[in-house]
Amino acid sequence: MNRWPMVLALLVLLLPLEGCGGDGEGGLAGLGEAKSAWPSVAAYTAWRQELRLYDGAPPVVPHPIEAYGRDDCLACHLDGEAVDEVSGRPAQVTPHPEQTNCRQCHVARLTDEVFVASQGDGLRPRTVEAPGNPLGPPYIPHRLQDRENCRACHLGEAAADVIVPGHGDRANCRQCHLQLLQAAAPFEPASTPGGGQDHAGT
Amino acid sequence: MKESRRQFIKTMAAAWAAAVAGQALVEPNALGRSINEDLLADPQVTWSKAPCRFCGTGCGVMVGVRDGKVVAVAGDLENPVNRGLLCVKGYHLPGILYGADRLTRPLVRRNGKIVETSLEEALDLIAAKFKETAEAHGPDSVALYGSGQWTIQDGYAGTKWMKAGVKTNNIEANARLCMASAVVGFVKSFGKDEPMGCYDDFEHGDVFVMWGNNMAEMHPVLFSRICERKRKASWVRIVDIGTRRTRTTEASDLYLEFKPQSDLAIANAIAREIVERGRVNEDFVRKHVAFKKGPTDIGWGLEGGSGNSGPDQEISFEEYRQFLEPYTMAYAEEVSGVPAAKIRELAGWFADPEKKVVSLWCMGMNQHTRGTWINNLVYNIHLLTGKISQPGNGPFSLTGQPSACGTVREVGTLTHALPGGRVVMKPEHRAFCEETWGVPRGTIPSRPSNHTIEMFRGLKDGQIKAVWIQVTNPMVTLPDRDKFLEGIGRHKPFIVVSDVYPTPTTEIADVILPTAMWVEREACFGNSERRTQQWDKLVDPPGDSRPDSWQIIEVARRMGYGALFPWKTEAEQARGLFEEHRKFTLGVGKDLAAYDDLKKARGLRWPVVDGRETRWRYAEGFDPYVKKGEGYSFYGNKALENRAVVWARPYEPHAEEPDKDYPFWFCTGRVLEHWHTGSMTRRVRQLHQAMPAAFVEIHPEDARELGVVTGNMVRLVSRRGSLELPASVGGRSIPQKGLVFAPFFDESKIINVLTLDAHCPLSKQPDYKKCAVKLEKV
Repeated sequence: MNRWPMVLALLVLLLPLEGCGGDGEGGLAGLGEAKSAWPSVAAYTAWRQELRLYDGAPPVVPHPIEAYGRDDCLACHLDGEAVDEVSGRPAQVTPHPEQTNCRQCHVARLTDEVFVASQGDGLRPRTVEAPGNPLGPPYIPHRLQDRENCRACHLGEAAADVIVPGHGDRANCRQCHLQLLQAAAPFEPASTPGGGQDHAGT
Repeated sequence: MKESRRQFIKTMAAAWAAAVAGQALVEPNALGRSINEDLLADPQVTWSKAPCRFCGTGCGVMVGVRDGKVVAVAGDLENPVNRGLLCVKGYHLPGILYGADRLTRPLVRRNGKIVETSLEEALDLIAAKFKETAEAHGPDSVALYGSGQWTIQDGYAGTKWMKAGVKTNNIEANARLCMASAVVGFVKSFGKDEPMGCYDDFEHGDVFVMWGNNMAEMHPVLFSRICERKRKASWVRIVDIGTRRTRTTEASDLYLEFKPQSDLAIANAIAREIVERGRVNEDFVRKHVAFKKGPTDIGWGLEGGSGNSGPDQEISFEEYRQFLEPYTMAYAEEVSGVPAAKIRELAGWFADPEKKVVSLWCMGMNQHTRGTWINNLVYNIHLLTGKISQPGNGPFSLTGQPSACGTVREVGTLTHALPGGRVVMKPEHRAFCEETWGVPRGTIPSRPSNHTIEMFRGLKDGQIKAVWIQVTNPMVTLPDRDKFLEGIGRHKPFIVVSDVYPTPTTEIADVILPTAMWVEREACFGNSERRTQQWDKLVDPPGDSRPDSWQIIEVARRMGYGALFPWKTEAEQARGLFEEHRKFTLGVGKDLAAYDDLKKARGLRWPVVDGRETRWRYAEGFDPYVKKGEGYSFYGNKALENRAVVWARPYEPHAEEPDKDYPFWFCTGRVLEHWHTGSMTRRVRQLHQAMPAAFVEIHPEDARELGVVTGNMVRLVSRRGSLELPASVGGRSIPQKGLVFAPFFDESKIINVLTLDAHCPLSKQPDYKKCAVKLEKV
């Protein structure tokens, strides 16, 4: 991983040229400091949201991109062993390595400017809440599509402290952590003893 | 502290790995995944299906609505087109609705100034102007210019208003600039428009040939399906035939970099190789193929230009073989610059009866002064080898816009066209339409009036005096734009523009109507694979915004054509317009599904007969129009006993090739991040920040000779105009030496001041991929 000094040198060369359509450039523009030590889940979530339009949208790439290609992205994002020598931050692990055209969805950020401001307000992940028992496992506060691999974000080298589970080595996350939609639509029995007409004839 | 945390994570990760050992951590099919997250059950966000607003792929999206606003989308796992995956534009759909400068009130020009007005007043004014102009100067003095982004309902309302009401064939759509060559190519070869195959071919093919098509950026989700096929089947090959190295090239096994226009010679050389090597599928050709030739030296449709026209002639196989004789590998190499060995390798894959081959193309073949011809030439290869209308075998024409097929081609929003593949030139077609519409015989004019380029020439020269432009931005997209802008400024026709944001086209408008877009109204799109998709209105549009079809109907009523549009509410209009259009499609091989079925389905591929969709047309066992025992039937060509046509079409040069004064080819196109002229996508922060401005791609050697590096400003000069752009050298795409490329999404850098309005004389589609420029370092 000794490419970074060269990348930095390149970046310096390219900085005044940003926005020229090539992919060698790229910006860390305005994305704030990436770090693993966050004071709270809320602070972490706010930073996470800054990278995307709404909860569930693909995050933009918060670093310069050297070259195109699946192998290049996965060189760092497959196992999360790589560390950015500039920020000291380990690479985020992709939750869906089987999707091979990374930059079909994840694009860089070349400028801080906006063309026209937006009046839209994208979906945010919900605040974490635990069902009934305050000591019970919290619900999953975000969408799951394309992020079924919990480990990618919650256990990787890049995982923010505040979202790393505080319990031991349990692997079957969704045995205990349910989706929030199940909290919002609690189970209500459809039948009462003796009133089983729903089942008649089935 | 940090160390212990790391250690803990490592332990956890190891435990995880152990727990999942023996089961696949990664679901093997990237595009066929399903998870037990039920979006539809989420009580705080309402999720509903819709097709994506952007390209012709027609991905299914689930649209999340909360408090009357679209707050999220998700790839629709149930939609067979994309199976849960989207591209970056699709994921950012919510952003296109909420730009701060959304048009919300009608605007009119009074004493040179644009001022707000009421919807009533604006509609009254449009109706009065159109009526007065048509009465004073004849019906052909007014025009409607729409789009492949028109919904089926919009296009149908527009066609009926113009052809049955105003009594003019002056209706066109920007799809003329986008896939007219594909239409004429299909009709010339098969007698009927639109592909025989479908996206299922992507899971069956062995070789995928991209003819001038950067699918990785322009149809990303479909390209991912092909990459997924290759990941699962090691023998699969992707071939890129292009003029510049792109992301598609990166994923390809074989790259043929050809000189612009020489694809005609390459295609003929492949056909010759198949014939000379005795690899013609003789049984298929004997039963199902006819041979024809047409006029040559046909010109380029330039103002004041000339070219041959005349009848087509049937020829024998032997005559076709003689026609192919000059297209040796050596000749093809000389004309195209592609090593003969590469062309031979590709020809070998086409010729191999064991290999299933899918050809794919979009603008590279369609925006071509011989666009119809190159479409025919690719069909030739598939017809000679019988690799057509079967799973994994076939030529597949991709469309750029979400309803270029559903609206422009199937409804027929072009000057010569009528719904259901009918044409104004045929008396029986006019009679059927007049009867269905309940208008007197003789209502529909029997001759086409103006194709798009002629329509705008008419506006610039003063023959057309009023035009209504919907869902498109011609003041960015017309080739040789300044010529039109200048002429329109001089003659000052009455211009109405319906749009959602201010654009260079709304700048020249006399009336601007704010429009309900995408899920702000109920409607249908038809995608590249003949799939018709319906969606419901999910949110209210802002202010006075209304659907394009509603606007047309309101103006038609005010002009006295109310009887043509008996539907009152927007919902009644959405259903009524579709169901009436559907009558034109039944029994002619284009049978659309019933509206109620479309409401339930994730789209259905026509012809839909007895509730069943059709995946492969013209083939027995797949297409209900093919009788038992026929094997294949190209039933669009009844006069040729249901045979498809192999065409003798020569290589001919382009209208303006580089010379010593203008030594570079200039090619234009799109980028992944932006939709067309960027009026929607540039208002999405993430998309704009990823691709903020236009640039010009230059080959590194050309850049060195010119003395420029990435970011230096370069002046591009053509015989029509000049423009300064920052250079991009060695960036995302790398053009061949002697060719430069610029995208057209940036309205502050209108690259069409450079382009030429040369077009295919058969399809009338302009060539945006080729003209000559010189470069100057600024």
